[in-house]
Amino acid sequence: MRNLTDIKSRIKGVSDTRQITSAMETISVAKMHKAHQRYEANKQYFDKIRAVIKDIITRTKDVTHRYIAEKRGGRAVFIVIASDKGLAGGYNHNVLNKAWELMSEYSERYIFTVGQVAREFFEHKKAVVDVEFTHATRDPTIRDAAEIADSIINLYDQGLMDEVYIVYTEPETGAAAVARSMKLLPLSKETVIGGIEDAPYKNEDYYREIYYDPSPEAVLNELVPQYLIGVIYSALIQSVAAEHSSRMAAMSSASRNATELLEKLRLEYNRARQESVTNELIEIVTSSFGTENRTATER
Amino acid sequence: MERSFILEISTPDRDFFRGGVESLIIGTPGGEMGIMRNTLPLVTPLDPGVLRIKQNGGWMEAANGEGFVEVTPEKVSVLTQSAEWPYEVDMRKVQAEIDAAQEVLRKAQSLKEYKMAKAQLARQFAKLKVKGRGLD
Repeated sequence: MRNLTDIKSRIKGVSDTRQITSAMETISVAKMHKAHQRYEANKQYFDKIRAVIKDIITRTKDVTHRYIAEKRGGRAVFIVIASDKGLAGGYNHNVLNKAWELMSEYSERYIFTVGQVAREFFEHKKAVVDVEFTHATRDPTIRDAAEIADSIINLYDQGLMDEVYIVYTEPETGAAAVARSMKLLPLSKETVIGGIEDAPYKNEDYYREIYYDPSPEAVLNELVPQYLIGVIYSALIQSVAAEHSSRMAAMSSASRNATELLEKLRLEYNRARQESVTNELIEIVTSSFGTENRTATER
Repeated sequence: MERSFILEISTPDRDFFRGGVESLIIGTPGGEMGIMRNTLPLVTPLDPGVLRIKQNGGWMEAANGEGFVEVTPEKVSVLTQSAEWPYEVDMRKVQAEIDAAQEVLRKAQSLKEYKMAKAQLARQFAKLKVKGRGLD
């Protein structure tokens, strides 16, 4: 027989935990709705900016530019977006492992992290985190994205790196989320597209002509940073939406597990209590029988 | 009636405008640029400022942030970091942003900070401009 007080304290513990997880679930639901609204509003921009950039690259045939040229030096930067907090199911784990896997292919790598958990992960792996961006996980703004894009462009312009990747999480329909990586620089048709169809061209020769005001060089200098800001902002927003969905799913399953466990514990508790009551009864009955027998023999 | 073309203005937070218009005037680093139907396909950066749209013979104005414009034979796409109609501009917020940006400008330690504050100021002044015009 298990100790009654032991079971009782376990029940207390589990139900306290359930209270916390269900509160977190409620909060996550509210946050998730907000984050998903922003995600929906942003999605079109995200697709559009990629389509436009791709269109421009397709039409640009003879322009060489440092943002477009293919460089092979093996020095890569990774912007990894994870969460500030844990308890979000596989959310952090998936995106961080994806980033780690991708990194192993590069000899020289620089790591930019967004979110506490990302930093801790790389520190644990004994990898040096070069730049850490805080405050960008809860409520990302364009300014946060601009800050990240700016530091990337600075390093890229100085020729300190060859490739730039961003690793983030894309919310899928339902609670599932998929960790994704995307090559930001240098730009090429393949890296920008990601499932976007070619614009229909009726007459190839005519449509290939595109005029840059004032010059291709000047336009790309302005346009690529704008593109980066837009894409980084989208990645931040998508990650936040995915984080809240994952946390909600994790918390709801935790609450469910706690409820199941509580049921089992209550059953066990009742059984144990019944057992102790029965035992006590048996004791009383036997002892009373004993005394009755004794008095009977004495008489 | 003038012939119209399709204009799409997108910002990261919403689809700002979509529809057939007759003319679009934007601010670029090279000065103001007017775009009409059959304008040569082109790409140009967009300066923070006021953009004007002519639809059904009437002019509309909006304050825009940094971005870029792509003109293709099919449509004109404007991608900008922010866009607001005059009635959406909150004067108190704008004033607070201007004060903050000027403070940064005074204390700016680096070229990057200076540039960002300048751009921020330009965005806010554009908002003031559309708001002011909307009133009279």
